[in-house]
Amino acid sequence: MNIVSTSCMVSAGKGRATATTLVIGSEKREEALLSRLRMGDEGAFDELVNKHHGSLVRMAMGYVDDREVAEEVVQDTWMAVIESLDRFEQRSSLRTWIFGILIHKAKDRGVREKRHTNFSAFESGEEDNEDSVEPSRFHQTGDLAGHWAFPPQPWDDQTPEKLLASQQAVNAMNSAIEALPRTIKEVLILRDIEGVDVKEVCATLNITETNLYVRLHRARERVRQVVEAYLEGTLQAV
Amino acid sequence: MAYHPLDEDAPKIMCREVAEWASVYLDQHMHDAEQIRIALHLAACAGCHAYLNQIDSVRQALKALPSGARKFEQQKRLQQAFAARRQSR
Repeated sequence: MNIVSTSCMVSAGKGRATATTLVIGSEKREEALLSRLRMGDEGAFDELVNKHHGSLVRMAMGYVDDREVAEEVVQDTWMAVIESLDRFEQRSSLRTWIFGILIHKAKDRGVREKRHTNFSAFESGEEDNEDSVEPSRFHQTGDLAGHWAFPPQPWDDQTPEKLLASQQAVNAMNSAIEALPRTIKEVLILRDIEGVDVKEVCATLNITETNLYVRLHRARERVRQVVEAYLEGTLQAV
Repeated sequence: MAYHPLDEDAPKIMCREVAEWASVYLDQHMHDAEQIRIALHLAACAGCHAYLNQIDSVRQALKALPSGARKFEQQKRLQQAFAARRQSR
């Protein structure tokens, strides 16, 4: 059953206006950043690198075996960005363009290091036929089949802030992201960490919106499980 | 057969389905009829309500998650390459 709308349904008039305002604001910010970069503003370049470097390394780690190689791939990506800045045609956002270069370079490097066999294993094993949430949390039979047997406990409203204030929780979330299979990790990085628009994520990764949400939810659920263990005090040391 | 979400004959949605669709629902990226079905279920189900709030909390935390990226060794080299680009133009 396809329940994913193909266009964003921020249906209330006010919501739509807010979403449009946000898009225009971010386009203006990007335009300003791009012209500073093209004028050679070193502060703008530092800002760009500091903003995206961590996500680029995380992303590259899905394609290559160790962090050092991932750092090299990201370094090559930044060099390509510097060299091609004047040729960037703005057919996508600057961020999407940079991540596109990274994916291309990381794939290349991964193939050279014979990781390509692993790519197909990751890509085929993590798709539509698997539940995101552990099936044992639901009743399996009887009138309540499909309903919670072990429902999640409510978290308080300050949970995001509390998590971010705890080094242990931050480390646990970072480790959970690192451990994700590549295809679901890259969706989480682009959509939730980098805040890339759904359509741009789909275009960058060449996937459908339905696919995006299957992967995104699977990734969020795995991070949720780690956070749940942390909050319940059952997290293994990270 | 298509049902209106408020139709009493409409098949009841299960918690397992709500859990699978949590991210699409939170991003308000689903068809209106499904959005309403889930909203109705959430109003009556504390477990699903808690689950959606948990996924939303995770989503909010990820947005601000520090990457642990530190000043990396080659940053100086990149800065020099960027500065050289300006000088060469």
